[in-house]
Amino acid sequence: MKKVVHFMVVLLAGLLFTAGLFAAGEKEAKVAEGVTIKVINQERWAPYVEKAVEKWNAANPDKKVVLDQLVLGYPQLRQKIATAAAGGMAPDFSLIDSVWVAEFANAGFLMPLDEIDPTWVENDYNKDFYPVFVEGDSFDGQPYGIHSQTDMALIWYRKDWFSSEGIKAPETWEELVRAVQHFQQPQVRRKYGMGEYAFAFPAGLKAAETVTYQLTPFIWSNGGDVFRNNTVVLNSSTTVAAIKLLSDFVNMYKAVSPECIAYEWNTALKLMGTGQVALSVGGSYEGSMIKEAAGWDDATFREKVGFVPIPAGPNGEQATTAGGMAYAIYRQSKNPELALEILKLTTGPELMYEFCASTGQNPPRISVVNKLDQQKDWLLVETSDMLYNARVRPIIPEYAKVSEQLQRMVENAVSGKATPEEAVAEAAKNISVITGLPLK
Amino acid sequence: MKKTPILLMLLALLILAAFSIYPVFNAFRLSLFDMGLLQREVTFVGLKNYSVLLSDPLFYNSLKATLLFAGGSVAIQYFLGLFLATLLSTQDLKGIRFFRSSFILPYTLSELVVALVWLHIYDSNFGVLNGFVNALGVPVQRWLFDWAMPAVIVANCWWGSTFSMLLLESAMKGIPAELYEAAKVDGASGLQQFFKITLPSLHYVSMLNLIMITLLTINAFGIVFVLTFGGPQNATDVIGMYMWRNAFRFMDLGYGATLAVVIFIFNIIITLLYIRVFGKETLKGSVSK
Repeated sequence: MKKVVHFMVVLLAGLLFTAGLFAAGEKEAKVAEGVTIKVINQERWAPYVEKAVEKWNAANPDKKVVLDQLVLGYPQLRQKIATAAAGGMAPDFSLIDSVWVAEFANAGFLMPLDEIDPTWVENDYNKDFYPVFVEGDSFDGQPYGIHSQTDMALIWYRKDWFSSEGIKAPETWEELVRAVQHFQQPQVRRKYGMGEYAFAFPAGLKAAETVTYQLTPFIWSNGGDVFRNNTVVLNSSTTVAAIKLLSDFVNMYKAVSPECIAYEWNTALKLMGTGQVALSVGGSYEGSMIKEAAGWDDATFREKVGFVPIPAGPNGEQATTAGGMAYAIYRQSKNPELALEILKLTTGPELMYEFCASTGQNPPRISVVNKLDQQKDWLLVETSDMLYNARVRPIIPEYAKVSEQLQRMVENAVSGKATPEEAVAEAAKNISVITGLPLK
Repeated sequence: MKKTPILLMLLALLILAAFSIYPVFNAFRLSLFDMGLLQREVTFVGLKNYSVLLSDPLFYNSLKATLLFAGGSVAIQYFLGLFLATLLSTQDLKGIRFFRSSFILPYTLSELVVALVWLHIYDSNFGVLNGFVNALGVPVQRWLFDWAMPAVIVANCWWGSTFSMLLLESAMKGIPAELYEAAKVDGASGLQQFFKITLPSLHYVSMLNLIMITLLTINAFGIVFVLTFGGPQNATDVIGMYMWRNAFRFMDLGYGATLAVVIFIFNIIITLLYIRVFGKETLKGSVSK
């Protein structure tokens, strides 16, 4: 027994000693190489941070950066950065969904950009990023996020079928209803080999944030909103009308499957891509996925599919949501200035153009949009036109809970569990409880 | 030398305490706080989270969904496992290795993979099941909408029944062959042998099996998460799913921990109920063996 214990003690001591030597060696090597910048990122974004670091190191051989980048999938991202920040292990910067900025800033985890470099914020950030992102990435009047790409909610429609039927792209709710009803007719569906329903959108908790992102513009397009002047204004006739419209597509016009409340985030785009429906509510990021589902090349896609912002209701204007991922610098960062320098390169015009052109994502910088190739990047050029009128989802720390209430509101109304009036009233009441803001 | 087993057991106990017992106590401690990962302040609220829970309609809905999910899953898994184990225990069955390997196959997959496979099977527009059903002349079904709860139960059972089968089959193999031979001599039919010899001999293993599959089902989350995300209309919002949403989506650690404590208490109650139903003698009997 004694021999076994001795052996184990010696083995353990040996292992600890070796590990210590390796760790010390590694630390020394890193100090010699430069300053380590820790980053949490997603796969598609990560190579561009690497490129930014390479550029930085080439231009600043005396202030070299060593990149320590953790690459995760979107589902793990929020939890990982929250756990890291709460545990005092936050990275220097991370990719963050723009709707999380307020939540993390309110928790005191993020560093305002104007606290690091007010001149850059004044001369570049405020001037070159679309105003919607300067507003959307700010909290309590200070900017926290730098958008890396963006996308917009819209309605995809089959341009070729619309043209052949002599119907123009819908700009108002009335035109949308007429178009949907037309394509719902059995003989029209048969003619184009469509499925049982002409229109598709996700309307339940399963599609999660996609529902809030894609369907909130219906509320805006009729002059409604969730919050206004620190008051919950959701419970209004304009919102009820918007929710009733969505419910009517399912329950009155029978043009959307009741199953839409169980759709995945990408079911509607798959239905669009496979020619099952003539119209679908979606996002500009779906272009490449629709092409893939349909097996079309870019020219065919352009010929067959068109898009419009969410049509205007009787009391409003056409509307769209601007979303996307942003970068944010953490308060716990030991090198916030250096982190911002790397981000200036990562989200600068050159790398942003490269990223957006190769991934088919819209650039959030005006100068990059102006640089896009009118022919090659036609989808980005055309969808970017909508950005000046785009809006962002509520900028509040309790966003995750509020968003779920909006999803429930749509699901309850569309499923017939509640009338649109009841669904909207209940959501408004719950949002007021969650945020502590008064109800109008 | 007598010290070695004690030392090794102490080490095991230490690991168990660190990874199982401490988290339970910590969950109970957290449940007494208003605490979130993205919250600046942590406030002691006593039993407030429990009182909120008792007035939360979504909690009662999750209890109902859990009862249906666990009830359906446990019944099917146990009886299907028993049926398959009985077939595999049949003497001189041809191709027994092939059948056993085939039945074990689902259990070698991770819960997530199983869920993704069934997601593709159930897809109402592009799924395999509707293609099959359509070929039989039956109208296309919206499996994860009209049949959400049965659909998640079937997926869970496809994955979990193997566990019951393996446990029961190994217990059946331990039943002395002489008992069956004597019964045959006495003129007992196959069915009589099953009910008078096999089933009573499985008493203890059945109890263990039922406890295990019930707890595994109550704590299950992955299959529901992928297939229905608790919908439609909260129909499959089982308590594990509801806890995940609160703790990890809303980052409300206090309320999430409260739900975790409730799940823990349910698990204990269910275990005690099984022991009571099967009789304490079952446990004693197993120890004396």
